[in-house]
Amino acid sequence: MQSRWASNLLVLILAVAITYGLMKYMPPGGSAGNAPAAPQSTLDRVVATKTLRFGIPIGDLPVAIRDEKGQVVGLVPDIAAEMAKALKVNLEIVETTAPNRIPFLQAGKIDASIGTITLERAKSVGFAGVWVVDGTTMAVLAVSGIKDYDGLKTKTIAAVTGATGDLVASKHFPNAKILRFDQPVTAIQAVLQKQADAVSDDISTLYLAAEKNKALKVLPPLTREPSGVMVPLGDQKWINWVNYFLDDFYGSGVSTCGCGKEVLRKWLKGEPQPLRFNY
Amino acid sequence: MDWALIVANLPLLLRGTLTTIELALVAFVSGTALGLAITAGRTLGGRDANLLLGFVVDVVRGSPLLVQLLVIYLGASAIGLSLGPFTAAVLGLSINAAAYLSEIFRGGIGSVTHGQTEAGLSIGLTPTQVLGEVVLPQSLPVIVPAMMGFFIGLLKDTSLAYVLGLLELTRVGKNVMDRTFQPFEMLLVVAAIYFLLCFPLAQLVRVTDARMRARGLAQAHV
Amino acid sequence: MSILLEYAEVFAAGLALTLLIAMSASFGGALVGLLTAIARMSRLTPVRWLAAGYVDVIRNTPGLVQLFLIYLGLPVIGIRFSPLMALIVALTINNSAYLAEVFRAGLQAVPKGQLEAAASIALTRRATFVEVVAPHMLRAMYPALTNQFIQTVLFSSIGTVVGVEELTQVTLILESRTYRTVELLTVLTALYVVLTFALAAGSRWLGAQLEKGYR
Repeated sequence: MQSRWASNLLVLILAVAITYGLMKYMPPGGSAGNAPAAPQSTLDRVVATKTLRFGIPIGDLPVAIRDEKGQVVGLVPDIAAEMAKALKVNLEIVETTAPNRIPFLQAGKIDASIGTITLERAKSVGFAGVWVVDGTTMAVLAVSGIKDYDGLKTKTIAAVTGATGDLVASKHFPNAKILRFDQPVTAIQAVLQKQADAVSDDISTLYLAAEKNKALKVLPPLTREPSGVMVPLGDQKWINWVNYFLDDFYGSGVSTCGCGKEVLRKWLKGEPQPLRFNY
Repeated sequence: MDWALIVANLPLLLRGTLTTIELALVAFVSGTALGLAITAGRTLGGRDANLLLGFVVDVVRGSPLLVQLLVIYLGASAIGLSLGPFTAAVLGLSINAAAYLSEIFRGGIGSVTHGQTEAGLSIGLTPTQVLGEVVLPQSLPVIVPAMMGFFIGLLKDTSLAYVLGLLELTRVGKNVMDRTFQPFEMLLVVAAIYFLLCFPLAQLVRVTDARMRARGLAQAHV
Repeated sequence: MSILLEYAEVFAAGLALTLLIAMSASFGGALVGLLTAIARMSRLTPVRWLAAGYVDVIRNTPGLVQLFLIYLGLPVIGIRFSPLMALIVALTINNSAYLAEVFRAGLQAVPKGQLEAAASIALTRRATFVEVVAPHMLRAMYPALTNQFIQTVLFSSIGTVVGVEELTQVTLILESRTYRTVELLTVLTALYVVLTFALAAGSRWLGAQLEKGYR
């Protein structure tokens, strides 16, 4: 009996000691603590490996979903495909969840992704140009009679963990109960199944969801948010190239199809907001 | 209950099922190999190896599999590795399996009377030979049913790879039901598929256990 | 790198909820499991088959799928649970199937000689159960019961997929805000390990205390 106690105690002490040691000597911020400026630019890596790995949260339109054949379709896959074509490389779509985008970029698992440009995020990743202007809004059940945001101050709001819908809801509705899921569609279902009073997510996503599901009503936009192409922090060569790509894709059409606006119209099912405007 | 939509999506579900089975088999085989190595290390390696390996096993058994999968998938990047969801799932499930299986092996070894070990050593066999050729074979009646039972658990645990986005059965089912808005029917189908995979195996375990026990008892008389 | 101290309240809240979930699900699971075990030994064949079927279905389907069925599937037929309730219900059901088997084994572990001896000194059925059967059962089942509790603590982590803010989910939320992935995952693993170690040691101590009454 005695030796059992001793060995257990020893193991417990070892556990605590190793954890403490790891914590003390691990660089802060995990992988981001290591100098993020890679000696080789992502652009070079993409060209050398002949693969563009684009991280996409696959969960809802217009961003991306899987169709009946299991293929990934949507606005972002189309833009990514055009980017790969311009680079003359293969496109590899890496399914990420909204919270994973930044760690994946930092670790070099993906070459690019998309996300709202926030200054907090800009400390960990780089943004190359705006590809769409969206924003955050909330959707409720039409039958609930909720017409504005005052009615939601103490209710239950569903959101996607770490996405701007979550951040906006947490910031503006501190007294509400926030349910966090890893996919937009689950958050929307929470409202449809009356497990949440409202869902906080991108305007484009909720607008399309309301079109498919008449039970939903979309409230006026809370914020206007430019979404940028997310890239590894400090990778200026890659940021420049992506910037030129976006200008070409949405405007000049010299090296790409120049059909950016049509692609946006196709998936947003409406006129896209201007990419540059005065706030 | 619109079964037509379910039927239309069966090919996708079947592909997810194949991924599930593949994941479970690969993890089981690697877990067994690694588990045997751990058990051998703990039995033959001396006190320090036993303590160290025991610690690792205890850490793996003392944390949730879901967290282990996330640690491997997200943490591998920190040491410069880029793992896909399948690879990360295989690694995570294998390590988890190795920890639990090594305990099963140790239990089985412990069930063989010590006299066997003494006899083996006294006729000049090395400890390794004693373990591999005398003790382990006699522990099979205890180990095999336990391993089979563990495999069933592993089949179910592959569903946790859901959080890595891997297109195993549960994730495929969720994707489909998100598209077709039929959560109840789809989840019943998914549950049914798991049941069809696991239940026959569970019955097989019962039969094997009974047979092994009969044989095992016979051996103890020797 | 004292992320544990920086967010101590967050981790503490998650840990507390994890324990609350595990205790509710274990207690409820034990109740339902006991009823199921008794039903399995019923003289009525349909009752026996129903109970056996219940145990077989639950034990041969993944807990995650059970959770999804309860949280996402049941609303279709009008039954709505909050994420927390859905998790507790799912874990209770999951537990009940395993505990039913434990109870069944426990009930059969009582040596017949004990029952005969009790009858021979004319103990009432109630006294027989309380003084003879129950202690034997509990003795035999104690390791399995405590082990199941620890497994439930670990399994409660699946709550993260439906947004329950137990330990794993609060850590992932922190991760989505601070991006300190490696530190947070290390702390998360360490917290679970320390927790299970403490629970295992505690249950061994408790077991030894209970033994004292019978030696």
